[in-house]
Amino acid sequence: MDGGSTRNGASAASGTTVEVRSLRKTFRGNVKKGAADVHAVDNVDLKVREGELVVLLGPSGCGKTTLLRSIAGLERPDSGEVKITGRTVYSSNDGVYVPPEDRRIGMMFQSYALWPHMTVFQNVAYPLTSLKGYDKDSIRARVLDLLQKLGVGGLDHRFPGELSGGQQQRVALARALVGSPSLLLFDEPLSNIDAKVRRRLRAQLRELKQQTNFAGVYVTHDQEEAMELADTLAVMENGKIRQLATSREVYNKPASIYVADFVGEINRWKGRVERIADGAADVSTEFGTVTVHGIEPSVSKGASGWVVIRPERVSVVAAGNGAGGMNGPHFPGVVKDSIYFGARYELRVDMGHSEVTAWMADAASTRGDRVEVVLAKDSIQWLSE
Amino acid sequence: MAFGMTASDAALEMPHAESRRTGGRAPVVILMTLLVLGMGFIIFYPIGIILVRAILPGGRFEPQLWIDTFTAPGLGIAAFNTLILAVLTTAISVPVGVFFAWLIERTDARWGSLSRLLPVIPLLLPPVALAIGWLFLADPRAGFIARPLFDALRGFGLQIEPSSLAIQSWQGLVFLYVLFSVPHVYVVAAAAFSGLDPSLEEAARICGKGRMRCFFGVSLPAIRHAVGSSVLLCVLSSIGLYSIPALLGTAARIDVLSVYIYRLLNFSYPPKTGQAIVLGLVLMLVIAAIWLLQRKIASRTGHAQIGGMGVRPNLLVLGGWRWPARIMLLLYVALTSVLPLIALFIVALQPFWRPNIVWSTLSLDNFMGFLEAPAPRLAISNSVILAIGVSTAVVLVAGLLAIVAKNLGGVKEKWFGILTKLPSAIPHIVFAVGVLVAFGFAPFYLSSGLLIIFLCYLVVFLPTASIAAESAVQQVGKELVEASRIFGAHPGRTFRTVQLPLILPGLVAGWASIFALVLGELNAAAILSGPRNPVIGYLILALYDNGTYSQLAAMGSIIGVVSAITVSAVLLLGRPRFGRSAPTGG
Repeated sequence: MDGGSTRNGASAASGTTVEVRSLRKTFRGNVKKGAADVHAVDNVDLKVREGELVVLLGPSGCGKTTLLRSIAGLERPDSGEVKITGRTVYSSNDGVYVPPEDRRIGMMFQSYALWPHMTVFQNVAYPLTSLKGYDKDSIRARVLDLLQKLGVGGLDHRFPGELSGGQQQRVALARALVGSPSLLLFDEPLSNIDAKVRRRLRAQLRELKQQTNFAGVYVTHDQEEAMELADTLAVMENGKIRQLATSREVYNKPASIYVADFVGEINRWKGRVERIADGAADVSTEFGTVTVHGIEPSVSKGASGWVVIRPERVSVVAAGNGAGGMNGPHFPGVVKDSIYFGARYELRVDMGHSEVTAWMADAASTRGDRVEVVLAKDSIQWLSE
Repeated sequence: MAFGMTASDAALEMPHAESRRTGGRAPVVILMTLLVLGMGFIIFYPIGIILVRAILPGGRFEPQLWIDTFTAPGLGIAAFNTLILAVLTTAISVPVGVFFAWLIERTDARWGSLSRLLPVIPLLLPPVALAIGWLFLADPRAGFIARPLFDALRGFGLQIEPSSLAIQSWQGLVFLYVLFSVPHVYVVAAAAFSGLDPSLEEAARICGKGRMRCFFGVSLPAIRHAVGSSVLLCVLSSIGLYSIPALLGTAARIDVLSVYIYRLLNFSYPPKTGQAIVLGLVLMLVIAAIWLLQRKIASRTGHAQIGGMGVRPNLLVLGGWRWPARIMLLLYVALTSVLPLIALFIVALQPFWRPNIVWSTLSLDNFMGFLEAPAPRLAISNSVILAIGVSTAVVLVAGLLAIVAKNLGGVKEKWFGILTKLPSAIPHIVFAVGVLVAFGFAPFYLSSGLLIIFLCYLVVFLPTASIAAESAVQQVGKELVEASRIFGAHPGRTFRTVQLPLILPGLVAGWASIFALVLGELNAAAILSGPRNPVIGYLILALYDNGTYSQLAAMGSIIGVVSAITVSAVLLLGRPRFGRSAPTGG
């Protein structure tokens, strides 16, 4: 891939493919029906570097699709600025709005949006016929090659209506890739196909990403999909990006209880800081006092918030079976349920007034057993309200 | 790396993209604006003239004109008859047409893709040919079917008054109105059914619903939008229908508004143009109200869309009901097309109309007469040219307007819809008067050419085309259009390569019905056509007035054959080929 090194102009200097600045988009509520305005995108800043795939993750209605459509030009924001490869495509101050057809992007739609009256070949060749420098033969070669690569070779004469969901998806992907756009946008493209095909397509997408190093913005509400694909994860809520970081960081160091809850599963308990010293705090909870390390300096005594820990960082051992030797606080409890998931066991343990979920590779305890619950010391976190 | 052009090439090409932007969009916007303005002028200039003449004849309001109009004897009964006919026709045609559409599109009652054309076969026959054909078939004294039927019944000792089963009666009129309306309903409903996601029905079937429950509970509600459109279409076309009541209603002494208005203009001296125009204005308002009501109902319901996810049509198995369903379809085709056409041919081959066939007298003289005489020949070629020109122009205009309206959205879309339907609120004959006054004389001087007829038809058939086009446009999913823009197509190309092909099946159906309608149009032709610019409608009226039925039959046969060939060719070529031939499985 030689693309990165020969970039010209502003984009090469900054290495930024997309730059979104203070973007706002409000959908006016119907006053007559008493509906309030919806701030779909609320003062969002976002950068997508060359070769980076940013995944916008959030529940439906959080504004992720509106943000994506604003980048695509399908939605016209109210204010702010959008740059693609250094070129301003939207700016409320300068009155610039470049329509989607001139933004040189590729996109995969939720409904695939394959044109039912065109063959697979015509669908995929469509973006190329808008470009210069492609004659009939090179278009043909490129399209067929791409279809082959994506595992839908030989289907070029079929109509989309004759393909399975997975095949249509690949054709849609081929169409998005064929023009080698500077930016690829994905609007929940995998939400309509079954789990197995989805996994395969995700793996394929990763592979393509490594081969072609495209920059992209990917919208999904599926956190597993988000973590698999994202170089950078943007967790959205109510039109705002709540955290923008690598999947690893978002998972291990969630910025807020909202992010912690949305990405992966987490144990959470209400707590109050009783004592704080040297970045460690003693927090009182329903089941006892826990010491949390790595507390931000801004947190002070008396603050209320949440104590959280991921289930895989919780261990469960039989009562009186040497839990004291493990690194972390431990609390007595009774096993409520033990569920086998193949790769792991999920144990739900009653700790008096509260409950904890633990994921373990193996579990000797069954329902009703008295146990000790151990919370891994370094994995206990404090999240402010 | 096989992925060819890279991000760097993309960046290099940006300046081109920029320059194409201004080059690509401005002409489209200008063209669309011109189109809208042009159509607006052709529609509203004549309407404006009508309004001014109705409300302010001679520059001031004339209450006497309104009093005369509404106290005229016969108006009340004509209005009442029109209403009854419209209600009965709609009540019968819409269920029948929707049911046929469902049978053909959704069940295994169809055989091959050709059967999709069965219910539209009546469109091949203009209403005037249908009316003449049935006159020959069911006239109580000389009808090919009626006469033997009465004789047979008499043989059984049943004494039946012949006129009680005459085609020139209420039953006969409703019968013909329904035959005429069903294909129009079918066209709209079939287009909707063919775009409907079959999984909706499959889901209902899986939930244990029977075939009928499935039809009423799922399929029908899913195409509510199309059903609403067809109700509208039915009401509008029954109110505006002229040829059937003119030819058969008159004999039955059943007056309707369209004929009443024609009489005001043609059979009174001096012509009561003022009254005709006042009635036209009132009709316009009534129909606009009906239309708004339909919009209101339609806007509250969703509609099925063609999505980007290809669907495989999966036909419902009718089992034992399959053949009864097919026989019903065939019977319908026989009644609407085959029998009247046969009757037309028989009469056309005879020197004059008689209830029995005298083989020795059969000849092609009537047809030869048309070919040899310059006026009929000119009328036929003029009508064919007009029919092709008008139907092509009007569906393109309607398609473009529907797309522009959808892009504008909101209140503007609503107004586009209202304005394109407005002409249907005006009886052809009234609008034709408006057109004649507007364009016939200074500064246009179009009164004796084809162009004035073309302009009139363009407006008169715009509502029909618009209803078909809007229904088709509504069904194209938003993402299909967005995808085209994302992949670099400017609005012009998006229209050409994505929107137009997807709405084409709907437009083609509209084209076909308008082609046949133009070919047999009598009403506007009566006003705008003359010896210098004859069309078939003008000729038919002349032949009917003269009572030369065999020549009338010959003309009817010619219309029937010409439209049959053209319309079937168009429908065959224009039908959607994608996904329909989809193999199952895989």
